[in-house]
Amino acid sequence: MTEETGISRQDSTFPRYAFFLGCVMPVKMPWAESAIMKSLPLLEIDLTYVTRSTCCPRAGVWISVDKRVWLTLAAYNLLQAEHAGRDLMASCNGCYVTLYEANKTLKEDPAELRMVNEYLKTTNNHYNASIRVRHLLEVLYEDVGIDVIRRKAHRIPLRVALHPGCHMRIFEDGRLVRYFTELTATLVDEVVHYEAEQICCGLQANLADREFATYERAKEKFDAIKKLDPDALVIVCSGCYDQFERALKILEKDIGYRFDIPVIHLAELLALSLGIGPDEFGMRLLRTSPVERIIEKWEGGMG
Amino acid sequence: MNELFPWRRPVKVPLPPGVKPQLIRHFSIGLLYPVTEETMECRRKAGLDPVPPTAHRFPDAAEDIRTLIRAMKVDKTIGLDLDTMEYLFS
Repeated sequence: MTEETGISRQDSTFPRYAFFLGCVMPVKMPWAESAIMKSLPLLEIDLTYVTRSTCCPRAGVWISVDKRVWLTLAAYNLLQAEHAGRDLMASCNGCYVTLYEANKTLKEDPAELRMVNEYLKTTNNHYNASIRVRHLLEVLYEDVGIDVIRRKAHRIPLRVALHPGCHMRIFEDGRLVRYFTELTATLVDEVVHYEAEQICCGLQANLADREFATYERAKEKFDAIKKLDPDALVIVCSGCYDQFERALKILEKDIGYRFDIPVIHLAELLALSLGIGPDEFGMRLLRTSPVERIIEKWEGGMG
Repeated sequence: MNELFPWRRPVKVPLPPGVKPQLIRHFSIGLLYPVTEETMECRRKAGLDPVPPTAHRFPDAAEDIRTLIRAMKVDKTIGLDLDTMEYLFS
């Protein structure tokens, strides 16, 4: 029985989710998408895609420009999962916060839901606000359960650092950060912590001041992580990944800066630990730095 | 300002310069990044469909987004012509 949902696993069939991809993952992180789509069914999660999905959209931009846009475009994505009869699952912290908060508003405020449905009517759509929005971490920790993962997964002999990202702190009790840390610690030998772990990736700041976002945020983190020389930097947020990739390109071009530690998604560790080979989910493709050291250690651990 | 210039109205919502091209992509394809040949090749190798089941595969979803933006008249307030995808104000 999970505290948060009150749902006992034996009370239901497999949890059913529609996976919301967002803008970044399907284009820049196919390894993460593939690892999620291949791993979760092995953990008895019934997973399909949210089809016809569009940008979440970015709450940080739209709430300040026009709140109607945030709520209506978020509802457009939410109703795609509702049509499929599934709760929505997101991995990107930014998409999760946008969709979670919009869904909460639409569930709690009938006037806002009416307003949104008036606009949705122009596209022959309607949203009933009947679904839940869940983070990948909630699905893994609460629906699957850390004990099940511990039983099914082979620990990988890796030493990794974490980047939770700001929006992972959406709940006051900090449970998503705890889930992220505990899940990672279940999959690898060691999680190393560093002072700048809570610093933002710089994504939002990038809209206002690219130099500040690159040098005072992303580089601060990279410098702190390099000192620990972990095998990987683990993330779950596509927005943070996008910012890291952008910052690394700028830093390399401007000052010849190198960050040879691969930035990987938690689902890649999950896939490897469940015995899914790196080439089955495209682990070597489109990387900011090579992942060979991870693969070698995984092969050693499996042997 | 309203008392001094009662007829004056803001003609646009200030948008950070970095957001402007993103909105053009958002309203053109429904998402912030396009699918390229390289993307399709990598997705194939990762065991995925080359074109994700997002608005990339369903362009009518992007059309829906433009319809919603027009219905809210946001294109007018941010000064973006949705037919030409050009900003009317610099």
